[in-house]
Amino acid sequence: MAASVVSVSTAPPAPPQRPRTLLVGTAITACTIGFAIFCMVGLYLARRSDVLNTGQKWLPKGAVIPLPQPNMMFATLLISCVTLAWGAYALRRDDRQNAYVALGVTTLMAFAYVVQATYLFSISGVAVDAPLGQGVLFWAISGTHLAMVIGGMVFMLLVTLRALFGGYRQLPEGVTAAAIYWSITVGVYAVVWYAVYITK
Amino acid sequence: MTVTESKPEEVVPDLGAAPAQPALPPEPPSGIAGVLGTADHKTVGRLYVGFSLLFLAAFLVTSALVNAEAMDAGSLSILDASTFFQVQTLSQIGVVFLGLMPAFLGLALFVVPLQIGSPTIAFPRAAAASFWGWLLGAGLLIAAYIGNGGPVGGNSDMVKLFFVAFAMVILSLGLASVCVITTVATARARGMNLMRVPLFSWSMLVAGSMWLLNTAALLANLLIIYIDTTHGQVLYGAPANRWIQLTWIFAQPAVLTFALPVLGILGDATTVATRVRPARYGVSLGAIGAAGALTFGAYAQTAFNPALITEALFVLQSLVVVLPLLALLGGVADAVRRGRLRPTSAFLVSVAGLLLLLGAALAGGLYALEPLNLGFTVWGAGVGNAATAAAVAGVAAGVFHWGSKIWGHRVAEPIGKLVFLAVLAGGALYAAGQLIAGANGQLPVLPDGTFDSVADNAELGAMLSTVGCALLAVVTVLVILAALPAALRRGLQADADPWGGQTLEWATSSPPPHGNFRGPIAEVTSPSPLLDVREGAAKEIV
Repeated sequence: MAASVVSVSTAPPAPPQRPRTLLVGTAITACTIGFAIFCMVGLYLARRSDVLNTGQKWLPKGAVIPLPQPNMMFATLLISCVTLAWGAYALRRDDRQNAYVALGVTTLMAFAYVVQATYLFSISGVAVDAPLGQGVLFWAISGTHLAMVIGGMVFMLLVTLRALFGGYRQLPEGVTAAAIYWSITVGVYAVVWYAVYITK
Repeated sequence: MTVTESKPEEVVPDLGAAPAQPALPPEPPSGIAGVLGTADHKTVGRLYVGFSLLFLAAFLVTSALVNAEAMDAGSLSILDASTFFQVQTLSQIGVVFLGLMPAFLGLALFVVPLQIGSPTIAFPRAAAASFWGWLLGAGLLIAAYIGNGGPVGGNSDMVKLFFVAFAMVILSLGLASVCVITTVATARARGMNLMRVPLFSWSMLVAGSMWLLNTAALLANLLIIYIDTTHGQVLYGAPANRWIQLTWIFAQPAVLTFALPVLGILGDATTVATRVRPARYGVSLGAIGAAGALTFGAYAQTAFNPALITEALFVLQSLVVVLPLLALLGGVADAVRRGRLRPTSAFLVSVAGLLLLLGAALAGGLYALEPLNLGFTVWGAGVGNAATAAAVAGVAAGVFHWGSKIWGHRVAEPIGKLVFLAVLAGGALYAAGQLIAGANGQLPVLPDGTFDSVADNAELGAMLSTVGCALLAVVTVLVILAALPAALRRGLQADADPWGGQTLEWATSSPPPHGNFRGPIAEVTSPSPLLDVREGAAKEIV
């Protein structure tokens, strides 16, 4: 039996596209981590509601969650969003000097957040084995968010170092991806800040 | 255009010029180094499919064993009281997280880049890392059970290892899901907007997204249980409370997500089997998307809120999920009516998958109706069994549809007809057994393998479920046997396009070369780019 081999060459060459793979992949990953933390916050709120409904106090005896540290941590993260936007803006204008300064300041802000969080944890006095399960939930939420922040710091350091040591052409997408990750991290903290630290 | 006399095989349309695509990973070395160090999505996909089929067969056998124990509700005859619950939990985890999910992800890692005209998967090294992480996690998980771990094991170190290993498995599968989703979102050929994405790729985009959401919630549960297990065991980590917090992932509605890819496989198999252009493509895409959205189950954690199954959202979700599945069934019937049906194995088996999934959704709808009083009976397990059977059918259909593309040699198509009968009968029995027992008010088995009370027909139901589960294990073995010669590079070389396919994966050789396509790809203008090429060529000949 014979058959035809069809050779078709009709379409003109297409203009190059930028796949934005890193950006989308980062956004999906950050949203997934954020969702996991929201689930823990949901369990925290449900458990707190159950405990309060039985007339007991939520925070275990001797535990304290002061307001200044969580508020300052939130402010630090908000400022870091501004500095990151500054970095992305500078990059779009091909202004390396400002971009490096902005990315450096953002990383420093992230480091400041980690220091403040560590201090808050050290003074909170919430025992992991608190009798009503408060400690487990508190440490699971705050610890996971801290890990998310440290992940963001490493990401930013990597894109900054890549810029410093020659990979400049790939930097804008890397910085945009880091900015998306960081913005989601800050958004997640806003929920944690209100649900865990403010309303206690 | 040229028309020449030639042998019929290897009709690989040249699809014209291409857009820029993601950079290719370096060409993999051959041999063992090529397997261990590969970042080639095709090799990673093959590894996932191969290992997950072996795990699936093994854990369906253990699952049948657990069901067999309920045939004599008075005593345990095969397992003892201390191991019964361990085997039961391992079977549930094994079937879903070591069998079904990785099998679908393996198919997706291989097929999705080909379907959307991409030379590679997004984040190829992450995809490879996901496989090795999953395999290591699976090994540790089984080792933890062997060492008396698991959620209620007696060895505390092994219990901790169980949670770490389970989290590792979930994280690895999540990473693979991110790779697949990102590929569909960013690496499509020029002109292929989301309305033109092949149905399997679309179903993996939907399923992958739902898997990420549901397993993120499961990971949150695991983390909390792990922390409490290692620090005091006051509430979440108390041995009696551990497993019950995780069961929602195997229950309605979350369990339905594991079968979602069968909808896409059915869509692609239908166009091939009926040889017609898909009609109302947007409806199919919308139905798969709606089915996915309606299987979101992270909120339905009855361990924390038992009354949830009577709440409006749960009831509504359980009832409405039937509608998109009916729409898809209608679409298949319409395609069969319009076309010239060639009942391929993939088509038959995926139809069985849709019917089983529809059965699961209908049973789930009844479960949510409070007056029927089915809540917390084994009816819920019947819903899960039907969904599991649908997913098994999906995996089998995927192997029969793309097996020759994956391994480059023909998969034994006649075995597929046998698989169709076995999966339909096995799935129906596997679900019906629990549904019958649940309808009679049978409550689930206790951790020591006994029952609080035995309802009428409960033992008959257990027997039916055992036979059904064993048949599903046979299905998996048949799929392995059908694919094994091809995987071992034995038998007849596969054609590039054995089905007269309409999507881009059939425009390249079997197996595809490094970079997937030998030539550039022209702009895609419909969901059936290969059919467009054929029809365009036919018009020019006329």
